[in-house]
Amino acid sequence: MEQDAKDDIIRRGFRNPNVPALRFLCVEDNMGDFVLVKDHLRHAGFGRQPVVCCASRVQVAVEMLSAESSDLPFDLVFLDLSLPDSTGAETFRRLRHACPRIPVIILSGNNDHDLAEELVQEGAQDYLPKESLNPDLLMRCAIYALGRQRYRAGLEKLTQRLKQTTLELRAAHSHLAQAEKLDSICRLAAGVAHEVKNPLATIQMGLDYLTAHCVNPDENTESTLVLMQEAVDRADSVIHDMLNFSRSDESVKMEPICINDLVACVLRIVKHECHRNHVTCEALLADDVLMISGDLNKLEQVFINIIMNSVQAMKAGGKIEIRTKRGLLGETQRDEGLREMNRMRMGDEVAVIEISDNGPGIPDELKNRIFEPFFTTKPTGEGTGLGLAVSKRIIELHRGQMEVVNSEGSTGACVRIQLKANFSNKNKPNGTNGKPSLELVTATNRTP
Amino acid sequence: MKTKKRILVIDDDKPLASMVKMNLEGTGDYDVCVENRSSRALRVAQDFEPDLILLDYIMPGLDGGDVSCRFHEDPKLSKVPLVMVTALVSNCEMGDDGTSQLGGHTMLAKPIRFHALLACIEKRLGVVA
Ligand SMILES: Nc1ncnc2c1ncn2[C@@H]1O[C@H](COP(=O)(O)OP(=O)(O)OP(=O)(O)O)[C@@H](O)[C@H]1O
Ligand SMILES: [Mg+2]
Repeated sequence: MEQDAKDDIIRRGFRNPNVPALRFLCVEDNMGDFVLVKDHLRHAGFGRQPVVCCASRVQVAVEMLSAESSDLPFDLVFLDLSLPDSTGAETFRRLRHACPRIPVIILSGNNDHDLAEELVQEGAQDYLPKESLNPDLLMRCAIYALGRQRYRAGLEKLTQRLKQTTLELRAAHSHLAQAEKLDSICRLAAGVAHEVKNPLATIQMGLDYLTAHCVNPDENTESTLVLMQEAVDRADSVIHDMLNFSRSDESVKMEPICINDLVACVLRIVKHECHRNHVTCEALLADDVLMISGDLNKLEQVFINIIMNSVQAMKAGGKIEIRTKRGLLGETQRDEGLREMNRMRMGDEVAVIEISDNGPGIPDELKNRIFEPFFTTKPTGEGTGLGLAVSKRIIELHRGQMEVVNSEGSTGACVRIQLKANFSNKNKPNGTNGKPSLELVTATNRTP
Repeated sequence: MKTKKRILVIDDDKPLASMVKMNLEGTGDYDVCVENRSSRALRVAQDFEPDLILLDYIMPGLDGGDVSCRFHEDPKLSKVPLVMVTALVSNCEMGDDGTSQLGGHTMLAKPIRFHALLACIEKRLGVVA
């Protein structure tokens, strides 16, 4: 009987002849007692005659309860505690353990109040002495037990939902905390960046002066100047990253981009660096044209960051594969930091870009941390730990997704990016942010 | 002998301003005057009669935007090319106000290499390098 039908019985009453018949299992080794119970139930005045089955041992009862086909389950068990294969409280516990959901009414030959209380505490619905049984009492107990059972089931469902909700809430909370942390890092970074730029500009001007006016510099002076210039460049690129990181999405200039063109362009940029490090870089591009709308420069930066990570991870050389394909967005991880109306949803058409290498990969315990700003495993001077943080931020500003997964069939890392596909408007430029633009000359160019 | 071009540098960062001065004068082509207080920028500019003004955008008190407005209102100074130097990186960060008066002025992002600065100044002065 389905739960709905059972609910129906409880709602519309046991005397109603139009509800399905109840099914009882009487666990009893004494045939006389079984017949008595069955007789009582038949005369109790149920609207439809209940079905009453018998099991003479706990083992048999458990088998019947668990083996029965799901369309005809028992509704309630009447249980005698003294059976050939078990006696006393043990009998109830065994049944209860095997079938925790079925309501059990204990029919006992003795009148042990302590035992009765103990077993009801453990979940028995009732404890009735056999000598006081009569049809009306049995029916009442059965109906009330079923009613309580129904509420218990409801309560269990609620508890389950509550547990689930608590888990989700906890996840959302940690997301939010993460987002807040990032937010304050952003503000700090922007402040520091502006503050550091003036002294850096002074050093740059000083260097330029010395380089221009130092007549016949000796070898040491010359290399000092070169090293200082490198240091300034490095500091500038860190600041550049920090500012990028703290930038609002206003600065993303969307335009229609063909993913395959983007990848080809990035490959040209990193070709030299890959070659120098004995890394081959291969593109496996989708056959059809995948259009997205995005900020070309920023997306280029993302791919360069990822590829440079792979190159740096494969000190002895290796292989990078860049794959593009059309896809549907799978389950989304919700990012509470970005409360966007137009974030991507499950089933949205996306362009998928996967960049995988066959290097050492990223240990599971670091997977959560690599997107944190300033998290790096590289020595000072080699890594700032901003590459992935900036990249992820940029992808988020595109309302896309970026994750690290294990490379299939290899030890290496694989970064997967999904960007919302824009198949419909292939040629139309997609709104710039409408501000009058100033000619901006950036002195130092960031090279990978 | 060709006459030296006169450049006014307005920047509250003293070391930076004097470095710029040193570099510019080091080329032998420029006379440079430095002013660190934006509140005095207009008066100094009127006295110095520069051929080009190099203006820092972020300064305490009057900022680059305010100063350029004053130059704009002055009949002589409004014709002098203005190059803005800023620690802000992109135009988006400028916000909406102020950008219209800035139209036509070149913006430079700090830190800048001297050769880039020089190229920009020469371009604005119409000097063929
Ligand atoms: N392909 C990869 N293989 C192995 N580890 C990687 C890979 N990509 C990233 N990592 C790990 O993730 C960390 C963070 O990367 P991220 O790009 O954010 O910073 P970084 O490379 O250390 O410094 P930066 O990019 O700022 O120069 C790296 O230090 C490295 O430990
Ligand atoms: Mg990196």
